[in-house]
Amino acid sequence: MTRKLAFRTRVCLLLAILAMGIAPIGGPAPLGVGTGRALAAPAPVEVAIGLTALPVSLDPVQDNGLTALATYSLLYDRLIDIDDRGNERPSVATSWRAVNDRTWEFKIRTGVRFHNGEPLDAAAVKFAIDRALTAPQSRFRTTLGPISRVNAPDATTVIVETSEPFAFLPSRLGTRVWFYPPRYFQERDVAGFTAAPVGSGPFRFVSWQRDNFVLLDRHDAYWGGAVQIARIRLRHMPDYNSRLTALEARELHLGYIMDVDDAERLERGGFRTVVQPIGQGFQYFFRTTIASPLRDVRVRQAFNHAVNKDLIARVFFAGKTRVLQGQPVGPDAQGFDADIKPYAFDQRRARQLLAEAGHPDGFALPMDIGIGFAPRAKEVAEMVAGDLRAIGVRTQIQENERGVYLDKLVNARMGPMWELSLNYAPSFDLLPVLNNFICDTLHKSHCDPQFDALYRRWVGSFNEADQKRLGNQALRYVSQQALALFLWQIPGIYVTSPNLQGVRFRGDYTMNLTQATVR
Amino acid sequence: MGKFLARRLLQVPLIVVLVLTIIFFTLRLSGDPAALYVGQDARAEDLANVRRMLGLDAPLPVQYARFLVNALRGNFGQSLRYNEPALPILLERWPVSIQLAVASLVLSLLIGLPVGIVSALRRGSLLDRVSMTAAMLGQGAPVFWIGVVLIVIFSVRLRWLPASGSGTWQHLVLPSLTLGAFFASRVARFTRTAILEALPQDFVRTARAKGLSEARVLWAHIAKNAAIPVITVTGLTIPALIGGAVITESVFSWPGVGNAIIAAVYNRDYPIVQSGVFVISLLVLATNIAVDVLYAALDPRIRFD
Amino acid sequence: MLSAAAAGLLGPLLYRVDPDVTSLLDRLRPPLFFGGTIEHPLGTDQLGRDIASRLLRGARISLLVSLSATTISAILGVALGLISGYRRGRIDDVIMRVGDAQLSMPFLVLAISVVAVLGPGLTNLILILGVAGWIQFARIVRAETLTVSHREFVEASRAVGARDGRILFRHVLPNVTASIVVMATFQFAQMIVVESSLSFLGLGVRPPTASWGTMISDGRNYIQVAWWLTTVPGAVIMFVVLGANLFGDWLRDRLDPHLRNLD
Repeated sequence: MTRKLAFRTRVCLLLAILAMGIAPIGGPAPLGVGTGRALAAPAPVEVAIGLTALPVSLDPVQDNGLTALATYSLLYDRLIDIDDRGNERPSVATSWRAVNDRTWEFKIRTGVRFHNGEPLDAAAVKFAIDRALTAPQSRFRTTLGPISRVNAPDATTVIVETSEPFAFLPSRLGTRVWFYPPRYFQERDVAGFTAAPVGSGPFRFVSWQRDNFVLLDRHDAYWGGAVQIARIRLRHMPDYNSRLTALEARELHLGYIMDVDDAERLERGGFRTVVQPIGQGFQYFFRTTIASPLRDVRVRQAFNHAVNKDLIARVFFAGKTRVLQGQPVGPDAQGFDADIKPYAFDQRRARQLLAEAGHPDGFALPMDIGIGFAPRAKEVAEMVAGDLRAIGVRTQIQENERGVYLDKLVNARMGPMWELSLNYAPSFDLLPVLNNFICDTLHKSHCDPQFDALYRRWVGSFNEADQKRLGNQALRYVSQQALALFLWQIPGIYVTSPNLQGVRFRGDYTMNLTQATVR
Repeated sequence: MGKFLARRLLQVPLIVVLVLTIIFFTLRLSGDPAALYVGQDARAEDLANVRRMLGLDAPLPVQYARFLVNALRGNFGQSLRYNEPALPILLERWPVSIQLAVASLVLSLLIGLPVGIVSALRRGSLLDRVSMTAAMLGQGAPVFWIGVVLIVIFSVRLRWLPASGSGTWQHLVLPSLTLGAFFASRVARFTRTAILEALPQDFVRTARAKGLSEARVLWAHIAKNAAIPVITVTGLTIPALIGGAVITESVFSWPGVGNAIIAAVYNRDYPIVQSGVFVISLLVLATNIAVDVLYAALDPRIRFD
Repeated sequence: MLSAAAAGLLGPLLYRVDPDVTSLLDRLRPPLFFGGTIEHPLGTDQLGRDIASRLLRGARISLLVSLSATTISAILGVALGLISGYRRGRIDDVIMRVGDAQLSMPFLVLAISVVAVLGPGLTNLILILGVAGWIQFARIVRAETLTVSHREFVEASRAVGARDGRILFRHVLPNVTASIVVMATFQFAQMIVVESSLSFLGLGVRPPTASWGTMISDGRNYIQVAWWLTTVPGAVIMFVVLGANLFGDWLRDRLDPHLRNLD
């Protein structure tokens, strides 16, 4: 009897404590101006930005991740900039052209100086490109293209030669190589430079701590015009809840928020969201190179018909996304084809295709997804699995931690159906997309010598009309062959606090803060 | 005691080499780090280049020999991710980790010990029930849940304390409360149990019979006997506060060692993981030597010689 | 705890709502009394699945994993801790230093490499969790054995020539039960949560199968828009832990020679 009573007391206490915990979360959050005490404090002198990751180093050849671009773009400049729609814009290069099919000429802007006063001339451009291609720390040695030589005949001209015809040189080289003063760099070497980097961008370096913060001050003599914000603190905040609560506690002015529900909640409190569903296409790749029912094109098409992409995208990304139209890229990619007919949601048709392929009762299929790459990956996988179950396909979802996922990817150990968030920012061309369907790719998802031949002709074509035609032909092949379950473009959702204005985002997820002001 | 200490100190390098060996081989079972350091659209030759550059193309025994020789000289190699010596990268996060660990430990002892003692002495009282229920809550509640609830209350609503980052004592409050809550509940439960164990023992009765005051009995005998399990639990807690504070560190964006090691595991940054394990193993060994010394000091009958 | 086990076994028979059926129109519905309806008494999750039925379905796997893993840890840890504390010397050194080595290693690395060698699966999950927890028991048991084995009654039975095994089981073990029970309830709660953190290694349950741990971790990023996703399973775990503690108290009262006389 006493034990029973004791249990009851404990249960009551537990409930009381739980209720205290729940109550503050359950109610509406008081985000309106004037509720918090800190708001009465004077306007902040610095703008704090929560990123999912800071670069591994401030030496701009050492990190090729998309998140690193955000930091580099504030400190450094590059040959070609990207606007908010993903179009190329002149930056340090005022113009560029192909001299012949293996030679490119870039004209360099005059009068640009680094933060330490050194001139940003053709020699500095050559220095940075050479180092990106050769430095042992460089992550760009293989990704810029088949560059054989870089020359700087005068202060405003850079000539780049390639060992084979490579039509995509400007978009790759132009958006990924950042400039820093050669003399300063050589005096200090890598370690010294990394400790106190110098660029020519709108902000100059003040201090940093690895995987913690980067502090930047306004560069008053920025060649691109006057900058309003005096100081920026970029913070390394990989945890979603941490970024979210820091925004709500007004410790951040700007943060990357992947969750639409939270973004809408913050909007009700006066925050603004900026949505950027570009530069990548989220899909499940099919491997036609290993034994599975997916070797049959009808099965792959059936999958594309079976999944209700519009509904899932609407629910999880609340209309802040674009559904892929029967092709692996969105309309922001150069070479997107609006005339390709998307696979309509039609489960009857899907079942019919499966039956034609000899699987009237469906089959079992493993499905590899990655953890920590795309937001809502698991929810989406479960919804896709549900839709496939409706046509008789029983999927077993296998979650893969980052390292395991990449190991499977580069060593061609993915299952017959696997998740890929296909990035084509910052260059926005089809090259990083169509690369995935040739025999020579690491994940070995598809291999067709005819497609390979088409691909090679396309990469080497300099005639604009030819290039367009061949690229389109290759894209249509991927679409008709249904080499992937084309889903949608995941939005990059940024939230800015009510007192930060004028933030713009480029198509490659970098922030343009030159026009931003803070109250 | 001197002999005991000498023996234990002699074991240290042996155990460290053992730990480093195990971690070396288990890490290499965990996946190909080159995978993380080539682009999404890389080719086979890019992968081979990266492997060669990272020194991963040599036969495993050769890699192991190289690693061990360098490690014994204090060189844990270059971080694959940061291109800089691995050990210093880890050590630069050490101070903030110690801050959090010490604050949480002090907090959990300050809360856990008195709560445990009082609820043991007043066993069955309302106070006992309240505090033990709270302790069970602390052991059952997910850490990130406690963290977010604290942030929502104290940072978002009341604006009393910062929600993220490190640097000032204010930054330390919420993370150490979150981390301390779990360990405080552990300390409280073990203290209570240990005292209940010590309470009815003959020598306490004898001491009471001899006419000593209640308080004297408590401190002289019970505390001393109850101290052994409490010290043990504290000893188990210390490495967990440094290497195992991963969730707390994430929720509060606290730049500590725990997250650095876990991130390195995800990135297959072998040198960082290896230096992390090296540092943590020294900590574990030192803690446990201290624990054993304390045992012997508290209870003269315990001898390890 | 028994009622939780019973709920796990019988619940799905009585409460017939499919735990895996998704309904995007009904997603993130709050529990009854918080604005929800009787249709989903504990609300729905991010995919519109009924939380109550997922809790019932998840009970089986969570309790199975957690109980078996805790039992393995306890048996290993208690046995090794007893030997360590009673024998001391070299064998104590070996056992405890192996424990130190294990404590120094990130659990994740061990888990990943075990998967690489043994492959994924529920049995391996239980094994990994079980082996990971032994040192906690061992250190506590060893510490208490160190003191207990010098008490008068132990010395006395040694003097009359009792065998070591008999001394350990009849005299030492009963005196360390209380701590073992407390440690076991802690481990039990931890294992439920840790299980979910290994699902991405193919070790835990696979989606869409429910387990309490995965329910909590999946709800993590929804904590501010839908607090019930984490709080409801969290509360259930706390209730079970509470039950386990009461069971532990009872067990200790029965087993501990001193406390038995006290009530």
